[in-house]
Amino acid sequence: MPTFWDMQPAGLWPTQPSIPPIDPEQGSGWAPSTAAPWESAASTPDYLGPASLTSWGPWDDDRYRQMLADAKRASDFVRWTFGTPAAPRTAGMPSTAPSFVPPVDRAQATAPGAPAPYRTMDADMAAAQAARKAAAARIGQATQPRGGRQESAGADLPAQFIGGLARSGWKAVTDVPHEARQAFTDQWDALKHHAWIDPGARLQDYLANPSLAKAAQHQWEDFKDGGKSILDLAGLPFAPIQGAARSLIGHPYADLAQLVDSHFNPTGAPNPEQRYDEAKRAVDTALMALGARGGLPLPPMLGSPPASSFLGSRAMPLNDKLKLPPRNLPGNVNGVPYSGHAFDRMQDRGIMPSVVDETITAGVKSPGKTPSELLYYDPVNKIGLCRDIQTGRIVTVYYRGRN
Amino acid sequence: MSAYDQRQYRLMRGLLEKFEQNKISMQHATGDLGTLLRALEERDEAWEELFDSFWKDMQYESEMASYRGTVSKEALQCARDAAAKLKEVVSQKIEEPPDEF
Repeated sequence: MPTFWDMQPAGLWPTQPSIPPIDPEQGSGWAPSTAAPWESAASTPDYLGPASLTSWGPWDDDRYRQMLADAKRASDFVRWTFGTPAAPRTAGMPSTAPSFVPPVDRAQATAPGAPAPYRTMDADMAAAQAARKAAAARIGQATQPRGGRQESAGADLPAQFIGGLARSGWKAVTDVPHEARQAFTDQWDALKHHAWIDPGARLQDYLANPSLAKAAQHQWEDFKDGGKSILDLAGLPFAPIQGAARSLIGHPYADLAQLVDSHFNPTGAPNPEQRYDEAKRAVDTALMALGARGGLPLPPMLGSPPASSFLGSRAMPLNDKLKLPPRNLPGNVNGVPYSGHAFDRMQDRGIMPSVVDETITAGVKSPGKTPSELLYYDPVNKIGLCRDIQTGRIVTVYYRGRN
Repeated sequence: MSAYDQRQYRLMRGLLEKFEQNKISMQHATGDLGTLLRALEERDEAWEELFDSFWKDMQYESEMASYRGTVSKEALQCARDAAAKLKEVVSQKIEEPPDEF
């Protein structure tokens, strides 16, 4: 059913009363004037009570005072919450500016079971207080160190540093025998690799490919291996020193790097085992640089190739039948020790350490030809590997079957 | 079976014979056998498992010889035994042409 307002023409539709430009500071000096001619009873909505009409008008001082109070209260709230650009945020409301938040009745607030500590029960005040607390909590969280650290993370950094050094120092001392044994094993493996040359294998190679040039090349390689084996033999007595240096320097260095990295880059920091492995390799490199070096430097490829260097693949393995000299030093990946030969083979065949881990975890075990060897076979990835039981070292990794 | 696969099988047998005659090294024979195996078009799982059961012995000996830098007599003999078995396995797949009268 159409009402009276529906029957009014569009031009006579009641609109908001126009507000003349006023000076807010002059608010109380304005004298109320008479109502405008268009402000008749017909243009007044009928849902307003008669009492509201007395304070409803463009020049109602009480209404403007209330609006001004609301604006100042909102401004103070924002200034208190976010602070001014020049001055830091203070703990409480500014005392000089007029506060429109009702003051707290402290006696009432401390009383047990007391209602809200405000003298007013206005819902807006409660909502404002809740919003202020939420904003303060949000700002407090934003000012914490990145990575979701706790409040005491920054303050505890020196304590963490000292505690970490103490722990790593103890670990470094107790790990010396293990590292010395590992260094001796590395040297012994290198010595075996370089010193033991089977004439039968050379004869077999020569019969397979009767070339004098090839034979001379093999002789030259054997001669170089003989020199390397002398160096390996000379290095055997120093294996305990090398192992002690690995442990005593590597552990504190790795823990310090781990602590710093975990504080500033908690998500991207490598695990402690990986960090220690890197530290050990750095110590080995530093020890190698200490001694007097002679002769020509190694070609870049025959040194320690970076992990980003090129790889072979199953379909196109590198170093296939070329018999290049070893390139990689023994090392650890994810806490698993690898021989240098295993690293060479993995690089030649494009086998990632994660695939080796999967083979160890989910592969089928079988005994090797000697009691100290254990063979693993992953039938999914068609990867086989040989592992030394005593040292846990991965001896070699190879493809098996047809993928 | 395609003539292409027959050619791969014959190449395998030729490799194994060369290894028996000491004309190629153990690493050479092992690597080339793997290459020829991957080149096959036919997929015969049972035959491949049988092949792998002997080929893995050759691979193991080849890898350990490469790791140690030496080829022991025992390792060479073990690889030759495996190669003899492999030759039988490969011969099962080779279709000899009928004798022409």
